[in-house]
Amino acid sequence: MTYLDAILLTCFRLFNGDRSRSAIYHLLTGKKTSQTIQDAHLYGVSNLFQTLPALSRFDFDSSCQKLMDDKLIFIIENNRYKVTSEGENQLEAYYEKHFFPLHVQGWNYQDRAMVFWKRLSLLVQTLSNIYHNERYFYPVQRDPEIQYWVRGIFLTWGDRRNKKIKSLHSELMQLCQCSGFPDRPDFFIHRLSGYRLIGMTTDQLAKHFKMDAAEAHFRFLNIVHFSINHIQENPVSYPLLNSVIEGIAQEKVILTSSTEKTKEYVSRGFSLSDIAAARKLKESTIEDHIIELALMTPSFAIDRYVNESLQEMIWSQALNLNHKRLREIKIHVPEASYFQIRLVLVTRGRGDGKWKDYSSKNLALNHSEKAKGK
Amino acid sequence: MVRGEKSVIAINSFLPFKQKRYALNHLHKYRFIFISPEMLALDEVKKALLTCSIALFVVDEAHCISQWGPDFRPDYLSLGQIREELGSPVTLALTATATPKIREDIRTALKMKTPDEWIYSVDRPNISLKVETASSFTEKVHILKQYISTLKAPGIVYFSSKRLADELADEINSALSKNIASYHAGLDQEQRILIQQQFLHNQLEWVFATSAFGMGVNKENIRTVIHFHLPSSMESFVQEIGRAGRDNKKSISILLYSKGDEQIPINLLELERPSLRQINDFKKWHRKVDTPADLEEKIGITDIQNRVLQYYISHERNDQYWADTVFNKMTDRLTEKYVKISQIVAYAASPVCRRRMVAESFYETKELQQPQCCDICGLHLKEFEMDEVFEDKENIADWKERLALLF
Ligand SMILES: [Zn+2]
Repeated sequence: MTYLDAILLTCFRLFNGDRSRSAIYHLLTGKKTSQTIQDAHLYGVSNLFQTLPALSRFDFDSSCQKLMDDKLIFIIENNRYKVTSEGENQLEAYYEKHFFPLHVQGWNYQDRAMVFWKRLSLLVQTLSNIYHNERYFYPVQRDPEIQYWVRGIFLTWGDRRNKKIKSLHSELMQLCQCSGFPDRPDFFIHRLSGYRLIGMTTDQLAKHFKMDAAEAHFRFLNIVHFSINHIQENPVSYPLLNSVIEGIAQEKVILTSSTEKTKEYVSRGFSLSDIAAARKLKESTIEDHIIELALMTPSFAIDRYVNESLQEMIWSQALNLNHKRLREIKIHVPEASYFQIRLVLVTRGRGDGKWKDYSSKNLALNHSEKAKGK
Repeated sequence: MVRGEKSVIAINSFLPFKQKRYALNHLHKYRFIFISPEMLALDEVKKALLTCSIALFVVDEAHCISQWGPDFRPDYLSLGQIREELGSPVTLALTATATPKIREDIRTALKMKTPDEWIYSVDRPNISLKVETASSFTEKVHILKQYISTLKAPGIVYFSSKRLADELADEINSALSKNIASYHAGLDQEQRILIQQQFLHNQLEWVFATSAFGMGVNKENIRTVIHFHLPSSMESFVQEIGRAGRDNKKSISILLYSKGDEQIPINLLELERPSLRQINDFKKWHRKVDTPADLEEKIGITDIQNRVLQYYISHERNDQYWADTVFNKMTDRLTEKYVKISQIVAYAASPVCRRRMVAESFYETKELQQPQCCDICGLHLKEFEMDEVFEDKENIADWKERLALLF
């Protein structure tokens, strides 16, 4: 089994036959549609959201095919699959030997983690070259916004630059040696470039450490996500690294453009059916928008769509059933609509962390601790 | 931009909105404006340009006006119009592939009447030319391994398949413990930049690449360029081998050829032209979908086909004959490309001096024979073989040392 196979198997296991395999592809590549965003939360796989943005459909399909051929998953209907008991066993065994990306928070950090990484890598490259009196070099990051940011921070530093080189070095040392650091720092540090020393690619790191590229990629992501979280929790210890994160975390959430329009109507007090009529869209589409809104804006109150006692009934059924099949919850709470059930499931998960506990029962989290050192 | 000039602005689709607006409002403050033809087509950009006087209008990679295929950039064809609107400033068109046909296309497209033409010979005397015939794929791989272990690095091996570039880089890497990386459009931008830069800084000996590699890479000491597959035309062949020996030291180009290799580019060509049905579907759907990718998925065309068809829909009379006209034009292009492939096959099978074959396909006729010319005229490989053994670079430092090296 490859690392990609294991990640896919984890997804198949969590979706448990409720969603087509395309849903998994969209989840991993981070397609920003209401459906994908809801699925991510509904099934407790939001941590994996957008963690493989460059995954090709071809590689995805061939990996799925291999899982089928090896009888680790089986088809139930219409492109929907469940994991076989052999699949369960192999997955468990795999994570005992391999690294589990415990700290990856795809949904929470999304591309912000990449902004952090790009800023940091360009900053290190620039400082390193300046330290060696080299004024001309090819930037490893070409994104103009990243370059503007680095230029900006250099202007504010003025002639304190040389001091900053020392601080960045010691902050990175401190970060990589902090007690909770999840992995060997090589997967992160070796990717940095500087004066006449160009960083290693994911493939090169994978080859060097004799693992497949997907694992090297996830170990890198895991470190970056851990670092962002750790730095934000200890801003005083990492003044410079914290300034690299600054402004990224607060960036406005981006809604799909159609949801943005629905949001306007909602804030003007339109009811769901009025919005559907005004926008000439199906009610179910507007429902998807509202679920997306509820996910993206923590302050969004769902009481106007589901009264509080119904919310409690739905949630306690969900916990009881230890199961996210909407249909089964619906059987136990017949007065609730599917929309109301979905809305409760996704927002409860978002708010108090219960959802995470609930879904983590399905994940082989305990194994990750054992695999950490390997 | 690595050296010098400060008052430069690059206007492209990556520029954040605010900076773009600022730049457009202050265009006259810049001495050099770098802009893509796609951007030039936008009204706001054109308007901003009209407010300043353009002293020199430079078109780089001007063969994109003429060449179809991966290089084709429909918006290049509008440059002539834009040039006129800017008051026909003095114009400089640059390209590394200037056959008479391409030159004519450039003149027509840019609306230039009697331009001065400075044509340098395609011949690069310091690059020796060799073709090696293999009877099978396996033998080809074997020959490649042989060359990688004996010939001088740094070098590039060109493939027409991403998968093969990856696989052979892997295989030969572990067999010979060489520093080889593969490079193609399937990698994300950051990995591509890293490989390019590692190669430039001599951290890599070989890059196994598709034709995506090399544009904008100015590395002087490339000693060897090997083609594992036939390139699609003499133009791209010359471009690719031209990356060797920029320091004017002796370098070598080796083309590995098996009978029937031309089927690969021919099959690719067949895939390049959409069917009449797809062209009709394009006409029907192109305004009804949100993104180009959606359209490509819906009617099953590639991004290149999409770009070409987008061009035709806005530049060819959209009447009942539109689809047929477009289909015929594309068929003509296809025929031209067959001719190009047959030229490169002729090079591979040539009984006469290869240097002469190259020159003649660019309509040059001067006498070119020289020592170490090509495998037909006589060539000793010894000169191109490694004289020193690279030390084993497998030992990468641990992370603390690495960090210390950076700071
Ligand atoms: Zn010759």
